[in-house]
This record gives sequence, structure tokens and C-alpha cells, in this order.
Amino acid sequence: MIADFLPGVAFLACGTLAWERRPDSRIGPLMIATGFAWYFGTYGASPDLGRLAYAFQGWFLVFLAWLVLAYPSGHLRSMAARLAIVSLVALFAIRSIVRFADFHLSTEYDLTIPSEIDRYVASDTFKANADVVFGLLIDALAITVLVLVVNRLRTETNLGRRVAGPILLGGIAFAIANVVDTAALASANSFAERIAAWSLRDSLIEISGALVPIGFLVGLARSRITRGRVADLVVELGQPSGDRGGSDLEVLVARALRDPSLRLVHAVDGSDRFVDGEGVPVELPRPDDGRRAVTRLEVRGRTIAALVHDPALVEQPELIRSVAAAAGLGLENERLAADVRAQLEEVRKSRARIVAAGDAERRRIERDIHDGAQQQLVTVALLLETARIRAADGDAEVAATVANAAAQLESALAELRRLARGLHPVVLVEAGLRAATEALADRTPVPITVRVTDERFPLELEATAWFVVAEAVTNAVRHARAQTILVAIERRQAILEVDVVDDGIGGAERDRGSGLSGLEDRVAAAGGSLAVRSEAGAGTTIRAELPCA
Amino acid sequence: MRVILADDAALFREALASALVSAGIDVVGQAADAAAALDLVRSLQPDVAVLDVRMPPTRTTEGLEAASEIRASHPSIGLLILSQDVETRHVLRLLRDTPRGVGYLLKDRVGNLAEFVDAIERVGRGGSVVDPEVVSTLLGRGRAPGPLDDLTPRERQVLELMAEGRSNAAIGDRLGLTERTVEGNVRIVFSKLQLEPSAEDHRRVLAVLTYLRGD
Repeated sequence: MIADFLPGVAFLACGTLAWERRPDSRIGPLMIATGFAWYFGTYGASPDLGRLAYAFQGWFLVFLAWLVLAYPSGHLRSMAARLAIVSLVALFAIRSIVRFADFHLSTEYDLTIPSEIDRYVASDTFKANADVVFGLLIDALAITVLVLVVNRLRTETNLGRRVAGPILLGGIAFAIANVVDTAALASANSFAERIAAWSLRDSLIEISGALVPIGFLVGLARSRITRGRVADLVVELGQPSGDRGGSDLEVLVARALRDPSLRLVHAVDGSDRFVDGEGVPVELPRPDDGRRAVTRLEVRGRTIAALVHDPALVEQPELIRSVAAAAGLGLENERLAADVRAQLEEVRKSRARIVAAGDAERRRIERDIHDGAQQQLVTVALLLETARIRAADGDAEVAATVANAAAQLESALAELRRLARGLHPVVLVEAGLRAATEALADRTPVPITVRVTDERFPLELEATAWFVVAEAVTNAVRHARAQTILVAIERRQAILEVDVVDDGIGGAERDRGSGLSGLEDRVAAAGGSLAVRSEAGAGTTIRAELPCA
Repeated sequence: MRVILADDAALFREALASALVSAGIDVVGQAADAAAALDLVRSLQPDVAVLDVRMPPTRTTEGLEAASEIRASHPSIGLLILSQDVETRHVLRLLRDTPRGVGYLLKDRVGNLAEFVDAIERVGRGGSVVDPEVVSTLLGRGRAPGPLDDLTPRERQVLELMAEGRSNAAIGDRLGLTERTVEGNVRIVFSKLQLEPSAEDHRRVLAVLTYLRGD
């Protein structure tokens, strides 16, 4: 009695649990139906309900087969499975109709005892034979279900086997029990043997029947162990991506869910279209696709991505919800980080553009001075000279004034030359860093050792390197009281190294609005770095490293 | 002295031409760019070509390129290069490429017509002319203490004028010395700087400038 009672309770309890966990899944209702059907054929046989009980005896087999084949997604995957279930339902429906029409309640039997139905049937050879025919058909279908279940167990992913394995094994045991029972029944020659066969069947069915809910509980327990991995995932997501060995989110999530087939796809802004990591459009599997399942990652009510994963995972709704939440945050984090990176890159580019524009402007002004103002002033100087010669024989005062004007003009021209040179040295554009550094050495009262590559570089890069050299040399002469200066410019792979070393008093400081901070900005705009070593009394070393293609 | 002028600034070129003509120079042709200057050199065979460094199309060193070409095809034609600013490497390149009759002056020097005409004539006679600013720039260049510091002020003056391409006689006129005294000073300068003595004006200009640049 107890053994007969327990499986039904187990199904009802597990069914309630499953329904609560996944209200939108068929698994819960199927389990509950199995549980009720379990009792319906056995305990439902009161005198009033006897006919119904007899008619609907064994229906739990249908629900059980359905449950096992549909577990865990709730959907029947293959056409064969759907056919098997449809056939089972049809067969049991026919049997129920036959039994309902044929049932005669007799006071000879105490129908309150479940197995009395069997005895009643056994007393009538025709009915018994009809039942054996139904039994054989049922067994044929049970064997089909058995084959399908074994096949599923064989082809299931590791994850699917892990989750659905126990319940599938329960299903196998149950199907075997039914077949064994029918075989025993068919081979029974006497009433006594039949009674014995029935009680064997009862025991087998009771034991194996209990296996299915036990399998469900085992699967559930296993999935709970996996949930500890969510914590690991959250910890891993908290680390900068460089520290996770470059593993991207997809790999981390796949590892947390133990589903190597898992794919993370990204929602295309505000639409229901998705792309993979490479930007290739991805079609999400349909909700009733038994092979793949989808979980959407939502942040603030907006779908930002989706996990396409093994359907076995739907049996672990809390797990997948937690992982999805963690992954959603991780993804949002990555997106924000990428945004910041993109903005930084944009700022860097725009800074480089501003610098380049400034350089271009200086070059333009330098040209304007040479070809415009300077040219005109030289012409004026020539005209003044002509005037001076013509006036030489005349008014001495006029001649003196003209000579004075010419002298003023001469110093104005010298000043203008100096100004143009400071704006942008022509030699840099014309002949490169080496020639420009040598020209600087010509005009510098402190000896400069020039060790500069002859290689030419893009305009902006040369201008930046030049800016470093000119500023550092100016500081060395003006503030550091250097005796000698070394300027070395050398390319090392993709880095242009600019070194200016002096033997002056040192103690140069980067802040205080000195030229050094301007230098640092300039170098940073070119994507490079500036290092200044300037201890008091130990000279100053300025090194700029500038990226070059 | 037959001269052609090449400068893209028409106003300046015309003014210079008329000033030179009034000073007795025969300006036989004017050009606005290097190509036109080369054409004039071929067709007119002048004694001297006065070339601006910056000319179209790029306004960088067209005048210098034209000078090289004229030197290669017409070695006897004197070349006077005018520049907006002193570029010492241009000066040295010119002097090295050109064994005689070459000059490099700041454009501003047209403000002293007599000196300018003198420069044209020196170049036309095969002499060398180097702008004083080139010499003073190189002299002001930072260098380790050395023989230059051992020169007397007089010797230094002689060195400067020598570097400008002036002859011993001209230096003597400038400093109020006899040519013989200047000769003696030049010898001492060369010996103090440990340079090979050279009688020829052009060679000694190059030697001194090269020394000053520290090459």
C-alpha cells in the first residue's frame, strides 16, 4: 500500500515544485497529471467511481512517457516522439472507451481494493484477452518510448545528460518494468500464475514509478551545485578583462553554465535583431526549437543581448536568471568601457588634429611673412636706397632721414626673420630633423652634439620631435647653464626616441607652467610619452617616445 | 656686366632691375621662376644670374636647383643666390658644388646698393661672396674651447672678412692695412686653426666655413 501510494505523492510534489519553478513550462502540469493518473486507476476505484477508475486505469503511463520525452524543455523534439505520444493517447482513449462500456459492477468483488479490478478482469477470459491485446500494444509503444529515451540519452549533450539523465533512467526502468510485466502475464497459464504476474507488475511499477520523480529531484540537486558558479562568474566579471586571461564574456558564461555550445549574441540597437561577436547577423532559435533555447539579457528593461544555449539549462531557471543578470551587467560594463575607450580615442584624435591644425597654421604664417611682409619690406628697403642715392647730392637732412629709415627697416627685417624662424623652421619641412637640428646647433651658443637619424617622418611627427628638441635646448641654454648638449633622435621599431641631454644645473620642473608641461601635452597629443630626469646638479635628460608607423 | 634677375615678386624684381641699371649694371633679362631663368641663361649667356631661393611652384629651394643646373651647363656664369633667411647648409652646399663665381646673400642686402653691386661684380669675376650674417652665425655657434679662442681681435676680423669671400686687398682696404700685413695675418690664422694654407679665395672661404661649422 505504502509503496503504491508514494510514487503518486512524489509526482504530485515534484510536479508542484516544477510548476512553481517554471510556470510557463509543461513539465509541472505533466508531472501533476502523472501523479493524479497514478491514483486514478488504483485508489479511484470506489463503488461509485469504479467504472471510471477501470476505464482510465494506466493513463499515467501516457503522461509519464510524455513527461520523460519532453523533459526538460517541455517540448517533444522529434517527430517520432510526437508520434509515439499521439499513438499512446489514441490507444488509451480507445481502451478507456471499451472499458467504460464494458464495465459491470458486481457485488462479488470488493472494488475498494485496487487489485480487485485486476481480479475481476481475470475472472473473464474475453476481457482478459482484450486486456492482453491492449497490453501488448501498450508495450510496443512503451518499447518505442524506451528506444526514444535511450536514443536521447545517447545523443544528449553532456549538460543535457547531466540534467535529464536521472529522469530518463527512471523512464527506462519504468518502460522495462511494463514490458516484463506483460511478458509474465502472457506466459501465465493459470489464474494463480496471472495473479502472481499482476503482483510482480505491481511491485515493479511501484519501484520504477518512484524512480522518475527521484530522478527529477537528483537532476534538480545537481543543478543547484552548479549555481555556485554564478558567484565565480560575478567575481570574474568584476576583474578587468586583461586579468581574466583575455577570456571574453561568452567563454565565462559558457564555463559558468557548463555549456560549451553556449553563444552570446548582441542585440542590434533597439531592434529585435541580433549579431554575434564578429557582427554577423544571427537568427535566434524559435521558442519551440527543442535543440537550442534562448535567454534574453535585459538591462533596465531593454534587451541588450541573448544567450543561445542548451535547452537542458531551462530546467535551472534560477541559475540561468542569475547568470543572465550577471552577464547583463558584465556586458553593460564592457559596453560602457568600450564607450569610454572610443571617446578617449576620439579626444586623442581631435587633440592630434588641433595640434596638426596649429602646425599648419604656423607654417602658413611663416610663409606669409616670407612671401608677403618680408618681400614688401625688402622692396621698400630697395626704394629707400634708391631715394638715398638720388638725395645724396641734395638736402643732407633728407639723406640722413632716409638713411635712418633704412637702418630702422633693416632691424625690422632682422626681427621679422627671427619671428618666422621661431614659428616654424623651413629647414624642418625641407630637409628633416637632422638638418633642422644642425641648423639649431648653428644658432645655439652652447655646443650641441647632433646624433640624429637622416630618416624622414610624417610632418606632424617631425614637428612634435622638433618641438621637443627646440624647447629642451632652449631650456638647457637659458635656465640650466649647460656646457654641452646632446641631441639624439633614433627610430627603434615603431618608436621614435628623442633624447636631449645636458650637463647643466638640473632641477627642471614639469609644472609651474614651464615649457615642459606644454611639451608633455604636445607629446601626449602625438600618442607618445615624455620622461624628464632632472636632479639638482646632475643635468637634465628629456626623453620623448613617439609612436611612428 | 650682363645680369639676369629671377624672382617671383614682380615689384621687387622691377625695382631691383632699375636700381642696378642706374648703378651701371646691364640687366639683360628678368624671370619669375626657375624654368624661365634657365631659358634666359641659355638664350642670353649673361655674366651673372641673380636667383631668389624660393620660387614657384613649391617656394622652397627652386633657386638652388636652378643654380646647380646653370653651373653644370654654363660653368662660367656667376651665380648670386638671394635668400629670405640664412640657411648655413645651403651656403655650404653651394660652395662645395661650385668651384668659383658663387655668392649667397640675404635679400635685405639690396638696401646697400653699392655693396650689392660689388657682390655681383665679384661673383661675375669668379670670386665668392658669403653674407656676413652667415659668418657671424657660424662664429656664434657653441663650441668647445679651441684654437679660435687664441686668435687676436685683428686676426678674427681678418678671418671674418676672409670667410665673406673678400680678397686680401679688399680686407686691407677695409681694415686700413697693407695687403702684405693681411697676408701675414691670414697665414697666422691658418696656422692657428691648423688648416692647409690656400692662396685661392674660394678654397679658403670653404675651408674656413667648414671649420667654423665644425664638420
